[in-house]
Amino acid sequence: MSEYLQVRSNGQITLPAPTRRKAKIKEGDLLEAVVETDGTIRLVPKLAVDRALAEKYQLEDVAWAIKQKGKKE
Amino acid sequence: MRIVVCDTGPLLHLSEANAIHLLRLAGEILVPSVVAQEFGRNAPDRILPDWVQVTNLESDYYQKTLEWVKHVDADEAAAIALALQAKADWLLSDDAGARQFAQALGLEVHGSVGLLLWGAASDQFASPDDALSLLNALAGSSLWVSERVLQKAREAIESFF
Repeated sequence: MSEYLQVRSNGQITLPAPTRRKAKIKEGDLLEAVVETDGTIRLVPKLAVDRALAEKYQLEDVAWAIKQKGKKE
Repeated sequence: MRIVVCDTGPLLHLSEANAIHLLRLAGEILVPSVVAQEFGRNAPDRILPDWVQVTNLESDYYQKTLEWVKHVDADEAAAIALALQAKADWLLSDDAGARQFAQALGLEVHGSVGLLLWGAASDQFASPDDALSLLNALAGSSLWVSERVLQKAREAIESFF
């Protein structure tokens, strides 16, 4: 699904309602704008960003705990 | 003895999972007063254990928190400042943003899942079932844990016994 968005004054764009519905975006949600090297802009809902980072840290903790096995306290 | 500073997240999550005693096994537990207050607000039916030492921030460290609240929550900023002040071995936080911020300041940070697995790796549980049961309780708390993490954590626990 793709749609054209026109950039207005101050760089404002409007996400069309079908896009918001499909991506489950509500008023007040935060989106992280990621500009790729090819000029593509990805908008990632903040909840997804937080969860990806939380998962990364939790996996690091699993790996850290495995290294603790057998260490003297 | 290891010095461990904790923000509100692990206190709440471990408390909800009836696993707050794990904190005590980790070392001497220090929290800033704002964390104790936040815990009381979020869990009015639970009492902060008496072995949790509520510790005041020195003026210099308190001043730092005023700047840091632009980036992290007030309880997280205070816990980070206390960890630096007390030269803590570990800071415990379940907030990814706070963890990122604290690590950038040179702190060793772990979360509730890490603490539970550390307990299992350090022979603090009699059986894998005890550790797995607490892991399930933690996953059922208000802490978000992905299926992938749960699977890896279960595998790690089973490998420890």
